[in-house]
Amino acid sequence: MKILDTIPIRPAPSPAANAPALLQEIAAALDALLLSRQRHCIDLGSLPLSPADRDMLREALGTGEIHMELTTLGNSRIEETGVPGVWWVRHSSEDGILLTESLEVCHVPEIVPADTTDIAIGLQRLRQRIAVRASGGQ
Amino acid sequence: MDETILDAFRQNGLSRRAFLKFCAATTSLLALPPAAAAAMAEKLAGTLRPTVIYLSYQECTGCLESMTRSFSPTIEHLMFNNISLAFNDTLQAAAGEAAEAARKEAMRKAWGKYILIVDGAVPMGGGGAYCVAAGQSAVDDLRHAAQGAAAIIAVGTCAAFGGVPYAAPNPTGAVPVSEIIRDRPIINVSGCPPIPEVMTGVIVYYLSFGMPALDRQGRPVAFYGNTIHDRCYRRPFYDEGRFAHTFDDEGARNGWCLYELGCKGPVTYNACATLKWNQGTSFPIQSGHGCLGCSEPDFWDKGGFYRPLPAATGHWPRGEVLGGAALGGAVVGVGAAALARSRQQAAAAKSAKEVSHPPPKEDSHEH
Repeated sequence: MKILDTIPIRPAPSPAANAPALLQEIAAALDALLLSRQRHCIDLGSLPLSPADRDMLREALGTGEIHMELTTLGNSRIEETGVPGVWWVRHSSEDGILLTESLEVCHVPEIVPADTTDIAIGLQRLRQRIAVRASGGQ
Repeated sequence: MDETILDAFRQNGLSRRAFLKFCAATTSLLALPPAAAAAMAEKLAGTLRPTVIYLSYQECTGCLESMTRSFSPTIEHLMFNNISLAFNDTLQAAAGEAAEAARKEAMRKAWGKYILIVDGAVPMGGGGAYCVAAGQSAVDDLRHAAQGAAAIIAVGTCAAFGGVPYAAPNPTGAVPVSEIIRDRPIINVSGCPPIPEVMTGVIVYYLSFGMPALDRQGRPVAFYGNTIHDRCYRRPFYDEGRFAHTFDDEGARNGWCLYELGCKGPVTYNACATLKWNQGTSFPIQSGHGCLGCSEPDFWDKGGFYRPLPAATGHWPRGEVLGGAALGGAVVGVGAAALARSRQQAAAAKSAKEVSHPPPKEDSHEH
C-alpha cells in the first residue's frame, strides 16, 4: 500500500461559511422561544457544514449543564449547550451510525419527557408486579 | 391487523421516544424540514400498519439486496414496526403453494388498501410467457394485483423504466410497470439498484404523508430533485475546467472531474452524491469512476458508459421536456449551450424514435 501514500491528496480549504448565519438563526429562535414559547429545530445534516463551521458553532455555543443519553433504537446524545434552551441532539442507530444531528431550541426537547401512554403502560406493569408480590409469587 | 404503527412500536417494547427518534431520523433522511418530524409522528401514530405485497418479475434481486442493507430505517425495522410485509418470495419462509395461498389471503383481506411494490420489468412478448410463476404470467399477475392496490411503488430502473430487460433489442418485449397499469398512483424509485435508504424512505414517506411530489419521470423529488453533478463534491473541478482524461493520469489521481471519462452525473437525477452508499461511505465518483446514469430511462442504450456526454452544458438531454428549471443550471457560453442543445435535441429525437413506446390506449379517453 506504499504506492497509495504517493498519491497527493489536497483537501480543499474549508472556511466557516454557514456557521455565522446559523448563529443568527439560533438567536432569532431564542427570541421566539422567549416571546411566544415557539420551538425551533435546525437539521445540521441537511446543511453543508465544514469542520471550521462546526468548530465555530461548538465554540460559540459552548457546553451546558445537562448531558443525557437516550438508549432506544441505538444511542442518542442530548446535550444542552452553554446557551440555555439550545440543545445539541445526535441520534445514532443500533450500529452506532449517526442518523441525524440537530440543534433544538426549546425548554426541553420533545423526546425527553415521559409520554402519557408510556406512563400508563409502565403503571400497569408495576401494578402487576405489586400484585404478584402481594400474592406471594415471585 | 388493526394496530397502528405506534401500537406496533409498543408491541415490540418500544416507547414513544423510540417512535419520535424514528420520525426525526426519517425526516432528516427525506430532507424534510425538522418540523415535519412532529407531523410525521402525529400521522404515523394513528396510521394502521399497511399490508405490503412485494412482487418480483424480470429482475436480478439486486434491488432487494440493496433494500435489505438500508440502515435508516432498516428493513427489519420497517417490517416489524411500520408495515405488514405479506408477500416477498425471497424474504419469506413459506414457499410454493403455501406462499401463494398466504399472498392471496393477504390480498383479499387488504383489497383496495395494500401497497404493491413491484421489482423488475414485465415481459409482454410471447403472451407473457417469458416470466411465469405459479402458472400465471407476470403481466396477468400484475394486472390482478394492481386492482387491489392503493398505490404502486416501482422499485428499480427495470420496474420504473424497463431497465436492462428493456434494453435493445428487448427480446422479451419487456415494459415498465407504468406501461401496463395506468389507473393507480405509481411512484418510480429508479436506480440499478436504488439507494437502500431511498427505497425505505419512500415507503415511510408514503405512510406519513401520502403521495410524494414526483418529477416528470414519476420519481420522488425529495431524492431525485437534483442531478449527481449538482451535488458532486468534484463539481468545483468541473467549473474550473480540470478533468481526468484517463483513469491513471494526473487528473484522476488528483480527484478531478470525470466528465471527459463519460460520467453521466450531469444528466442523472439521484441522491448518490448526498446520501451515498454503504451507510454513507462513498459513491461511484468518490471511488474514481463516473456515474453510469442508472436511475435514468434507457441508461443501458445511451451509447457507452465511457463516452463523454455531447457537450459541457450540464443539462438533461431532454431539456426541452423539463423546461426552464433544468436549463437554469446552464453553465457557461450561450453559443456553446445553444449548439449543444440542438445536438441534444437531435439525439433526444433519435432516441425517442428508437425507444418509442406503443401509444397508450387509455389516452384517447382522457382527451
